[in-house]
Amino acid sequence: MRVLFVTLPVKAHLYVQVSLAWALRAAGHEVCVAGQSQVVDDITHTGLTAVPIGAPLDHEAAMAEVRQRQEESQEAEERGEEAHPWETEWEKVLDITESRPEKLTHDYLHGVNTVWTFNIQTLSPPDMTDDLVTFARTWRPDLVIWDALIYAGPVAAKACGAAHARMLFSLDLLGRMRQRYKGELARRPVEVWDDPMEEWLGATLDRYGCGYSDDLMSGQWTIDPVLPSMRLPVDLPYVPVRFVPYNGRAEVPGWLSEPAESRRLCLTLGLSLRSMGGDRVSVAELLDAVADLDVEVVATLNAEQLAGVDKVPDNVRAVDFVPLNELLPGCSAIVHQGGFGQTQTAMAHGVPQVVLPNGYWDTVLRAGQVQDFGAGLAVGDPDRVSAAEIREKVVRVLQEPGFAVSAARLREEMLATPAPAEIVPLLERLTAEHRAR
Amino acid sequence: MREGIEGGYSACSYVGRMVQTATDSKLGDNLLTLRGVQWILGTKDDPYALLLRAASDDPRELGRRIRERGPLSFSHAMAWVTASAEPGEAVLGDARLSPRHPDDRTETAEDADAGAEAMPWDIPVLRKVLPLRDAFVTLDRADYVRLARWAEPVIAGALARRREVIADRYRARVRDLPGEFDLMTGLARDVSAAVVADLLGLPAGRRERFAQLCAGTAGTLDATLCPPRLAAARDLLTSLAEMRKLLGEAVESARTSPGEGLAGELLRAAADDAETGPDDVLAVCVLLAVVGSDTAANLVCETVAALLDHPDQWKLVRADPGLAAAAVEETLRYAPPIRLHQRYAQEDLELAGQRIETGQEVVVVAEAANRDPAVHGDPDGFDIRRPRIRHLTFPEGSPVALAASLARAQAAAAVTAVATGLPDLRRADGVLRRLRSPATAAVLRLPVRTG
Repeated sequence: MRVLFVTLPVKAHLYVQVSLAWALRAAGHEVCVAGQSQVVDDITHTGLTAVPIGAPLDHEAAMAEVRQRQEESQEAEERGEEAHPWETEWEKVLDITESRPEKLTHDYLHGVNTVWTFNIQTLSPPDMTDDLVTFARTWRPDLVIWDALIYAGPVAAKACGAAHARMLFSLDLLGRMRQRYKGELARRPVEVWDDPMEEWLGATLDRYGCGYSDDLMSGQWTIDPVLPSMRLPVDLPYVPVRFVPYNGRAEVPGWLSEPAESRRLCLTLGLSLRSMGGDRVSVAELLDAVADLDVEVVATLNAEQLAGVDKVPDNVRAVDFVPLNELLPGCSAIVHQGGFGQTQTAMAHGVPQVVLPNGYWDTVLRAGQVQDFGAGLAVGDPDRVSAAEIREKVVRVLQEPGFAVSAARLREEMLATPAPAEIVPLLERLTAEHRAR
Repeated sequence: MREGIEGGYSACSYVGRMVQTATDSKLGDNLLTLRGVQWILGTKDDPYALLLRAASDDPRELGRRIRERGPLSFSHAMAWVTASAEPGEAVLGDARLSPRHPDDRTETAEDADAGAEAMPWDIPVLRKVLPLRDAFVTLDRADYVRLARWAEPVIAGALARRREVIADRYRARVRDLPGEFDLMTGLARDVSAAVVADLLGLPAGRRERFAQLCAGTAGTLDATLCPPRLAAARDLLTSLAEMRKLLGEAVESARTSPGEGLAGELLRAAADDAETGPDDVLAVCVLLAVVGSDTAANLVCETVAALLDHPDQWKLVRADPGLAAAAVEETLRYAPPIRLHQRYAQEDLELAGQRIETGQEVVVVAEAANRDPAVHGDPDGFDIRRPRIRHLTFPEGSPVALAASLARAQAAAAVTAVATGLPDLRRADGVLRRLRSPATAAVLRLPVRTG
């Protein structure tokens, strides 16, 4: 068959799809990956074939604008002025991870649905969707596998008669929100249904002469790299697939081939992060906090982050980049910010985790899951974290054997989940069932 | 060889596909963006921003909170807002504040479209995304003052002459209602549109379409403040265009063969006034249809609902149907069918101690100002025997002013018919309001029953 992947133009999202794309390729299928211009090089570097879609986005200008707005709003806040809600963290007020039943009123869910539709809509602009539909109608894929945020994917599938599957890159927050929202809508008179997501998809499909159907929202099925035991309870057809770590083009550095002299701790923070927490814990403080531990700390820090560090402690090896997949098998613990790739790669290698969730998307929820499972510890509020607290959690995770035992159980569960190659026959069957031509 | 075959897809078909323009898809995107922004603006608990959302927050509570912020305060929703009677009156009486934005005075349609070439992070402007020129709801304040001057006496005279016909229409419908019914769809909406059709003297063959167009254009005032859903916006734009055409034909036909209808009377009155413009008669007719019909239907529902919720007042009206007009007037204060008035500063000015710049939006929350305790005794009470009922619901110089006498006459007739024909009427369920209607809080359904 022909399989068209559609990715968000961000490496982390693309990398979640790569192993499955190659599994399909290796099984003899034709595979293309469509994405906006800024991700095209990343796609071709995976060895896969890229399909550029949409007008080239002036990413630099957009980022500059965003930075300027952030600075202005920060300055306003420092002057004691009330920040405009546009600039403040509305995501925290209309939180898509909210689970307390008393908070989940119709209005709350409607608000979350409205602001997320508005965001999701900007990820599939008309020119990009037009290009994808045109390509799909020409290339005629049998199956479209789409990033759960890129709704140009199912629209193109519908427009060319292909089957389509949604691919997750996280917990299924969107699927859960849809289900809850639909439940609330069902309790209301039809005249006052106001579903912005359906409105947007309906209008988009209309442009290509297609009608809306419910599968557009969550795919005909969902390919889910989250461990089955951690999946949110959402009533949708899921196809679990093992998460196979992929870190991009990589080579194993010489030092990694040599046996470590002591236990190894991996410390990986966002590449632009220079300080964090209420005390603005700096990278230097973080390194000081682990300086007296009897471990070799491998810290991924770039030159910018190291700029504020006078002396790197003796037990710290600062590296610009090292593929996590090659580093983690030799590590006794990892400190990270809760990104999907970081968490999943740690699980894949059975490494206990200390998670400082950065608050984006599902990081807080997933950090909680890791802690609840006993495979690590989560920092409750990274906005207030101190260097001492991080140190204390690292020491516990290194010293208490229970964490490693639980982490090993997670690895077992992951290994028991079908590998990408193993779900290919299922995808073939589902495609034949769902294809409209 | 691939197994794909040529042919029709089961899910979608190219046959009969409407050709849609990029502008149309942009309309949908812009409306969704504006609605998303409206929700984001509400996250800081700004009461006016929440009022614009028109979700389930209690608008009266929001009005109180706006008043607490001061006589005239600036909202995150980028508008000066007042919910107090005195500054409200000042805003509505100020010739420097007009329903028309100063930029729209000279702007052509192409200029408005040029605004769409914005960067992705720019927020579009609702009045450019959804231009409502066909509805005549964004004219200059002076235009409305002028229209009212010559047209209002004609409308009032025509309504007075038709008083019995209007009463009959409501009485006849009330007689035919079942024991349990919806006051909006069963009575108010149809009769209101029929009364306006009578008044305008529309030919029999156009009346059904006219009633449909009244329903299609009902969201006009709300669409100046809150982006409608795409389907509603399309319906609104096409209905407005068709309404304008239908009434344009009616005016032309009255010009060539003067008959009984209001259009002919208006033409004669316009001819006698020194300052009338070429579109004036059409504007009056469109406003009566687009604003008048919906406002009248809502006023009927609000008045009956308020009476049913206040049995002592309902008893008074049943005992003396002559009090119907007073009940309607108190409802215009207590639960007005027009709740927000939008104005734009035509020049830099100072008002209520605030400096307002040219082009800035000023909104009067009439519903809340009508309950300002500084002006009204027992502001939250519904009392049809108030010695002097004051409100800011139908201010001079606004698109709703021309609808006032029509709405009052219809609501009084409806309340009289209900009070005499259905004295044991009760509410059967809660009221359901139209989506995204911060300006009118329009009634979709008002379930009631007898006995």
